[in-house]
Amino acid sequence: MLKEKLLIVDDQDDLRKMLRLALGYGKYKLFEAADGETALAIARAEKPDVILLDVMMPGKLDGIAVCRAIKADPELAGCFVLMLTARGQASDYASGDAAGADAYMVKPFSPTKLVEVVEMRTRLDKPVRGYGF
Amino acid sequence: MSRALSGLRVLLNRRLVLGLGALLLAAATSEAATPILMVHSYSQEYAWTRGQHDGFVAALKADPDVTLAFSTEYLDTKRRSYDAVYAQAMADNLRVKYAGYRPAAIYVSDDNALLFARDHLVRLFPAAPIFFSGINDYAVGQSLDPRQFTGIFEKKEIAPNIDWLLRLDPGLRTLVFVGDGSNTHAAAEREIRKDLAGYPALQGRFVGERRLDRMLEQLPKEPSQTLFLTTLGGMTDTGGEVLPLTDTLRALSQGGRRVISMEDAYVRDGVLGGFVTHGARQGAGAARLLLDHLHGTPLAEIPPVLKSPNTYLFDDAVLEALKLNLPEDVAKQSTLLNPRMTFFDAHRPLIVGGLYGLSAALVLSILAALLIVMRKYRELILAHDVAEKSGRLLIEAVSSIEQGFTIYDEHDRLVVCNEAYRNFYATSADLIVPGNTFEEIVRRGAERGQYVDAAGRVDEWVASRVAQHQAADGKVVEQRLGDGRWLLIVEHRTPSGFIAGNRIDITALKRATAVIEDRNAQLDATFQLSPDGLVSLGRNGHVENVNSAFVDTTGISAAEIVGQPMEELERRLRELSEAPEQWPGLETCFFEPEVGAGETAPTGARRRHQLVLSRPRAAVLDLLGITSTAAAVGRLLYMHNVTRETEVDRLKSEFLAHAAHELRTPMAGIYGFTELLMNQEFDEATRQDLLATIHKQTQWLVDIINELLDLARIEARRGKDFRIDPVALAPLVREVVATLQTDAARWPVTVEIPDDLPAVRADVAKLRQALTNVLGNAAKYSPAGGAIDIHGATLDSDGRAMVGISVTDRGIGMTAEQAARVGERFYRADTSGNIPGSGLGMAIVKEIVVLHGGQAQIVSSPGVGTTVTLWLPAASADDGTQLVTHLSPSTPNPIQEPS
Repeated sequence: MLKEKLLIVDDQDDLRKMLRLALGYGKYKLFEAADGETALAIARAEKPDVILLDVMMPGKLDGIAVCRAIKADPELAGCFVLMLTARGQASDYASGDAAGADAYMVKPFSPTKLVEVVEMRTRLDKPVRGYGF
Repeated sequence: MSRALSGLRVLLNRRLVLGLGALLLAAATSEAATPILMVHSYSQEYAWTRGQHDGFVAALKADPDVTLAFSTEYLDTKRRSYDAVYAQAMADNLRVKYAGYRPAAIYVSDDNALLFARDHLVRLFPAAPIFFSGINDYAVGQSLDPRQFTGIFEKKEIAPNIDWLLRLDPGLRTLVFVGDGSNTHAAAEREIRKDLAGYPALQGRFVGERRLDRMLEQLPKEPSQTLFLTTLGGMTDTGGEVLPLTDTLRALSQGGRRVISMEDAYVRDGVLGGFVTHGARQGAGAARLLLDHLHGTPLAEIPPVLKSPNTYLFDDAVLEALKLNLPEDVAKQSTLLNPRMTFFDAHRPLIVGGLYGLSAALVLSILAALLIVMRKYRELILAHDVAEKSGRLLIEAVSSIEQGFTIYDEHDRLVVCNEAYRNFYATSADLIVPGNTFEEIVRRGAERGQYVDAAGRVDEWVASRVAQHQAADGKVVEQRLGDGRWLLIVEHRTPSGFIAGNRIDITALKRATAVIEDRNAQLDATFQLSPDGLVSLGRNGHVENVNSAFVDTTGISAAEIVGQPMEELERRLRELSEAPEQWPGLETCFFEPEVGAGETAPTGARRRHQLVLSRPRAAVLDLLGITSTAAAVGRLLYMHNVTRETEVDRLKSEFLAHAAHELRTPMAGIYGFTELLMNQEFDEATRQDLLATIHKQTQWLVDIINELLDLARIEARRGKDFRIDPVALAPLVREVVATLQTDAARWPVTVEIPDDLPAVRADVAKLRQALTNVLGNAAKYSPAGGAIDIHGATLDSDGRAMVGISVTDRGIGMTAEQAARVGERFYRADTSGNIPGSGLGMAIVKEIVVLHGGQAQIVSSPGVGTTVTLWLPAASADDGTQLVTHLSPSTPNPIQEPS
């Protein structure tokens, strides 16, 4: 059986490491990107099942733009996009929603909860706050 | 013969006895009244008993030969049934009560009292003869001693009643006998049944019921509504309480029932009547027997009367109501209660009242005529008085008004004036007398300084004033008096050629006008000087005035806009607006806020909205329209400039959002890694790595917090807490380098500061912080081994001597675009998180340098490196007392001097 593909997009090395550890070795086929352009390129090439997407990233494409592009691509639209952000304002969720994100988690978040959301593909109509359990 | 003789003897004997009796009576009367004890079976409230009592007493009193003293007792056996125990108790009571009392006779009414007399009274009062009445039980007679007892029996006679009823209503088939169900009723029923045997065509029905309500339920079911009453003394209500007889009788006779009584006491309250036993007749009968005895007849010779002294008794009002006419012979024998009235009786109040009314009317009309005559006479006298007074009143009225009033004749001589006029011109009051000319009066006043305008030109002024006066054309003249008062004068020529003058004191009005003018001037100044834009609009909706703040904010000059309609003002403002299509326009500023049902508008609430201008420069205006109630100004448009407040608000919330974001980033690492460590097993190396990461992130968090606090402190104080001294730069730089350079091999530093570099004016602690941040950045962004150079320089900036320190690294560098953003809060060139930092370090540097009156300069090139130069004002020669050189003398000096 083929492993599910999961793409981690965050400009911070430590955070990517933490997500990597949380998701466990060998369970998923993991891809990583530190900026929007790389993330979009990997997504188009690998067609991942899940994308963990940081909102605030340097470069031309931030997380919202990447999400919008993925959801606009018919080949990628089915992929489960979980937005990660350090900003917790209502306007931010709204823009994530508009971009078609499936779920939204606010930093700091519980890695356990994140793994649960990813495994269950839980569509969160409300953002998960820091201590989201 | 012998028979005749014996008759005569008897007659003689009788006479003798009578004579003796009369003597005895006379003797008794002369000494004391004869005591008579009366004992009634029932109570004094019981009508039948009262009838017997009254009949007995009245009959006795009718005899002038006897004087009697009565004592009365009531057994009250309607309330309490008569039995041996009760009888004994009553007897005991009477024994005590009447100890030593010797009645000449005893009278008892009704059966129970007779039994009581037979069983007890005979023992209590052994010698007293006993007279009775109202005894229904004929059988009791057998048990009485005829030497001591005699009296009247009572029998309710049914037969005479049936006779008259059948004559009245031959079709009568059923009679209903009603009673209270008592023993008396039962006895009556037995008697009646016997009597009814003589009338085979008649059916008798008997209703014996103690409770009235049940009886009233029963009666409508009976086949006849002709009722015969037996005895009703024991009727009760639903609670068992004995009812007043009136209530019972009224209830029974309602609904047109023919209620026939065989007892006089019941003939009332709607009861028709009948051939009745008669209490008074019973009592009177007993009294006659007693009188016989008192007049000498031995009791044994006075036998009881067995025939009940009954009589016809009807209530005429009931007969009339039931439309019954008694047979003539019965009517003749009958006693009628409430007899029908004759025409005069029936209408007596009307006839008498009418007569009274007629005579009263007659008297009144005579009085009225007299009054009218007197009044007319009074009116004549009054009219005469009024005519006399009116002249006087006119003069008084003119004198009492506050206006000054004058009349001058055709030769301009004063005819009449009032007191107010004299008071206005008090200075020349001595000349204001009839006969003097107007000119004489005003000239003297002018000479005495009474008219302010006349000062220094009396002749000219007098001539003009006299001409004005004589023109008398009704024009309004204002005149200022020497004492500061103002008068308003109007003069008219009357049809007869006189000049009538009228003067009013308008001093108060003048003062009020001055106050208003003053207020207007103040308001105008306020309007012009207001820091917020103001536009006044006239009633016609055109712009009347704008103030300088308006002109300044909008760039629209007063000349351009004054006189233009509000629509034009709105068009001009819309041109300047940032979002013209979204601005609702001026009219909405003037609407009162809409108030929903049941709500009240907050006091002073106005609809306001914001207008954001992009030209001539960005501005945010709060617009508020005020509709004036004053007549002169229609509307006022108030443009409160909130640009600065809006910008500050925006910056504040942006800063907070940034700060929160910056704090969340390291916290995400700490939170996530600690959770992983708690939940998962890791090998030792990974554990150490994770802990180091957590430690790093925590340090980062602490740095951010410290720098946020630093920045907040600097911002809040805005340099007010700076202790400015001349500071020598070389020692300070070396100190900072020493503190930071924990690994000299990793980032070698060269310091090139000339010895003659002037000192700077600075707060040494703040400057140290700025240098630490700059040097720290240089170290952080330099790859391992990258050297850092520190140079000193001077510069003349517009005559001000500045001293600079440059820090050059050979690190990653920045694009021009990135370099321009350095110093923005939270801006970081590196976002990977690999180089810790808050993004606030350079912001703090910039703040510190600027607050010192200096400048921070950044030159950078990607991949080459960055140079940051801090320019600070140089300390002049006479500046300060002591140069701060030794800051931390203990600090070693590890800096490599260039060779």
